[in-house]
Amino acid sequence: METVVKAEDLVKHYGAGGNITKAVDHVNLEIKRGKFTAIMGRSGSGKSTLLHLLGGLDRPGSGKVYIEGQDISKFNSNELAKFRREKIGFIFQDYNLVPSLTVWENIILPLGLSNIVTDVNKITNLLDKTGLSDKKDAMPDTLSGGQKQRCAIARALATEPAIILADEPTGNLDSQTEAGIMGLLKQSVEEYNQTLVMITHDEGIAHMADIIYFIEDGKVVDKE
Amino acid sequence: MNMLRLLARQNMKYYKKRNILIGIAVFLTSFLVFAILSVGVVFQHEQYAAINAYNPSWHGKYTGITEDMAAKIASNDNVGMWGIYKDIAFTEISKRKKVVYSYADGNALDMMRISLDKGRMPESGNEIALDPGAAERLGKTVEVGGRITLPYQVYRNGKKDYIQEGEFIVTGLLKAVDSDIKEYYQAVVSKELLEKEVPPEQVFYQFLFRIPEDKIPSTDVARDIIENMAKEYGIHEDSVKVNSYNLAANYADPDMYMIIFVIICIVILAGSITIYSIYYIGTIERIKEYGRLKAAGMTAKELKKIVLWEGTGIVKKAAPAGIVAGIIIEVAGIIILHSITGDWLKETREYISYSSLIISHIGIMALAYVITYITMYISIRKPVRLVGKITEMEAISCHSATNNRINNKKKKSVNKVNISHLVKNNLASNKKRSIATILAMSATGILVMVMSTVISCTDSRLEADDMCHGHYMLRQRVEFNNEEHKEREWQNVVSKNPFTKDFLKKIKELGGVEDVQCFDSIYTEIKELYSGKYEIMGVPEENKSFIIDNIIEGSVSYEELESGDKLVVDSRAAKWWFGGLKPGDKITYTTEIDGKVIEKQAEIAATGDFPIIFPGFYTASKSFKDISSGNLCSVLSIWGEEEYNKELADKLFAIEEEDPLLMLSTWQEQYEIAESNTLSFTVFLSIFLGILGLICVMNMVNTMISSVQRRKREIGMMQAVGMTDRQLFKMLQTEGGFYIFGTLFITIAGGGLMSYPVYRLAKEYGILGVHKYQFPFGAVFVISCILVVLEVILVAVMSHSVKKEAIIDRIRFNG
Repeated sequence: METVVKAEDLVKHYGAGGNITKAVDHVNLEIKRGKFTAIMGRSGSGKSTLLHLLGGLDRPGSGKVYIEGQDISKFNSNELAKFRREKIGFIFQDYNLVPSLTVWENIILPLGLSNIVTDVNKITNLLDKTGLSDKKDAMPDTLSGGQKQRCAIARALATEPAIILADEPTGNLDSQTEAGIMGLLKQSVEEYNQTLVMITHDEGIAHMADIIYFIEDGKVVDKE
Repeated sequence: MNMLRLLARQNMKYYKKRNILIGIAVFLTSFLVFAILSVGVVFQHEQYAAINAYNPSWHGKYTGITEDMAAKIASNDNVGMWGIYKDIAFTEISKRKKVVYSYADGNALDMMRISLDKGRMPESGNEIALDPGAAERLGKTVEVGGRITLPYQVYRNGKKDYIQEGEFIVTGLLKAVDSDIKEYYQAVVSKELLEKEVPPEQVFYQFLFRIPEDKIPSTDVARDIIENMAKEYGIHEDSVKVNSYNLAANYADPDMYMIIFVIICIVILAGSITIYSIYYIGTIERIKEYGRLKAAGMTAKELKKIVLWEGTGIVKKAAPAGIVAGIIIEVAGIIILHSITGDWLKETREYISYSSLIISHIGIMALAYVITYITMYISIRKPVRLVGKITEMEAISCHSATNNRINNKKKKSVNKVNISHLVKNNLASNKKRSIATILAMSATGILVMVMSTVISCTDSRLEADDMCHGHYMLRQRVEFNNEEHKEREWQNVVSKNPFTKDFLKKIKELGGVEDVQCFDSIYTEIKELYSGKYEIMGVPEENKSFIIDNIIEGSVSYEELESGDKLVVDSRAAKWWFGGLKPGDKITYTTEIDGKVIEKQAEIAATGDFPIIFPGFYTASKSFKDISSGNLCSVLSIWGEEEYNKELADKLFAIEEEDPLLMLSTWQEQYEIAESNTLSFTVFLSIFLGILGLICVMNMVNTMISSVQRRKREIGMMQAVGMTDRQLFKMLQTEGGFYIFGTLFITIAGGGLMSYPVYRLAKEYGILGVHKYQFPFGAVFVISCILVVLEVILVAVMSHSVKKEAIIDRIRFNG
């Protein structure tokens, strides 16, 4: 099966002198296309940093990240931004919606930045799927946590990216909402043949994944 | 220590970075308030000291007053110190300089600032005290106790009588006056000489007086007293003069207070917006913290107190620092100014009241502190209210509380979320703040434009244009009633008019001359106006645009003027000297030429703006045909290939020197005089505008920086979903552009609208020769350049600072 994301000897350290935190320490991993990969680890184990490096949100200290065969660590910030909006969809625990834009506008934001004309039917379908049809014109701050996360998922899916990187998307949600969100994510990934990489604490969620990487002190210590 | 105070103090330490930012704004506000007030006060003190050092000290002057009338007026309660003086005679030194012999009593001498360097004032007979420079120019040596024989012409029988010689005993030498500044030298003679030389029925004095100090609460009141007293004693308004310089220098001027009040309001507005925006953002970022305090049992009132104490704590530290910085800058400025200006301030300094300067500075310091405190209070009112409304739930809710007070309404979604939509969206969501920022910046801009209008209208070039038409101007030396110089009578000058065709040809052929324009003149008496001679200028057809293009009220064609029954009048001359003549008024003028007396009626068809050096009445040259067929050319405006050519000027001066009936003036000379007159005014206004500009810049810098700081996380989110650096730059640039163009639009529109009335006012009061309206394009250009450059720099700096931090760090940003 084709490798869509590959990390090669990835390193990210914080701090200086004797006070260095090895957030990601010589990590090597491969993620296959169309698979649901979970990354597990304790708080401060470096799993979020790893995800951010894989998604090009942060630059590694050393090592390389290949996405669909392209070394993104060589990209300049403009190239990286364009690459991200085409290939990667992000979902964050804190939703990261733009508070001054409506639900609809948040969803079509990556399209607008790419100068892609909005396919109204497609986005309406996405809204239907995420159960936000009646919240189209609502402002993010009027939504519940679950609704915000569904909006963030819709935004991540709007450009139909090859890879979805999700950083504990259900961390702030109750179990019922969590199940709904996970269902939605899995369904979308399967429908569009997308690769889902998710950070989670939750073993239940992790067991839905095809592959699980275990991270400890910035290192991959196990793989299931 | 009280727990609340402890908390406020700890918060101040904990949020050091943010408080330093607010502290800078407070520092700048107090600095600017202090600087504006103290620069104004110091400049005012020095200007007023200069007025008190060099200008006459009388408040009011009535001319044409008999001794009896003087005694009557003097008994009025509104008259304090008073004195009388009269010019008795003069000696012509050259075409441009003369010695004036006056009688003045002690008080009048004091009020006219005529003082002795040596000896005493004349008391009787042929005693004289004179400026030693006058004797020198007349080729005489002079010493106290010595004798001097002087030729002089007495003003007698309504004429300047024949030259007579007299021997005088020199009792004193007056303080020398720089002959380059004054056109005449002063000599003081005794009352006996006045009575000997001038028939008693012809002795009319100038009555000078000061109003008692306790009767002048303000300049307006003093002016009213002087004018009302004149009415009471039947003195014609043309014989009344108010010494507005002295009044303004020594008494309260309500207009000045209003100007300072407006400027301070602008500083408060700019300062408030700056502090408010930093504070408000800081507060919404700390909502969780306040919520936790409330959850821990703190009341809304106590929370409000903490915010208030934090704010006032900053004022207590930053405001005095700003004031101290203001003092340092001010002292340094004064030292530099004094070292640049050199000696001329020495005498002025004697008149500076240092005690009142110190007292006013203590007042300014207190005022600057209070104003800064008020500014802070205004700024934190809304954040304090916001804190009061925070609920305990907000302590446990997600951090998005930062923005949940900004956007909670539904709005219509759009189908295209591009950069311009994001910009529009951001500005709209901060509508009030965006508008307030633009208005505050525009208010400063408008003030800059209005002040610049005065500067641009006091353009030295325009002032020179006002005093010399053409690069060089040759005029006939016409004078009436001078028994000694009958040849200067107009009829005599015209009969041997030096401005012949050959003369014109000679001038045109001088190297460097480009064009020569000739203007005709007739001298008349006008029934409707005060007795005296009035010159009407005839403009030849080839120069008709000179009249037609300068008309500002009423209308008339050149052809209509040719008929001779219509005139155009200069608007300033009409107001100042011609009893307020306006279009539609009719006058009857009489002229005597070639042995005949001609009376004509004419209607004032229009008023216009003309050089003040010209006579004030204008018509077409052809209209003089039925008055005289002779050569009436009286003024030659000579245009050179360049503004000033020394060789050409020397040749023209040589021509003037040859003919005692010609007077030459050069544009360059007038320009230099105007330049030195306006220099100090321009320097002061420029400093003032610079300070205001700083407020404007400070406000914009803060608005843009805080706009990015506040949205650091939001920008990070957008970059995470694919916004490129270029798009970010474009977004920040467009937002900045909105502030720039919004400010420029309001500044230009508002400034344009307000600058014209200010120009009219300055023109009406004759401030620094304001004559022609000039839109302050220079100011617009400078403001535009500063704003655009500032925006470019700010956007580059901000986008660099945003990029410096990894996207993920900004997304995590939580204040």
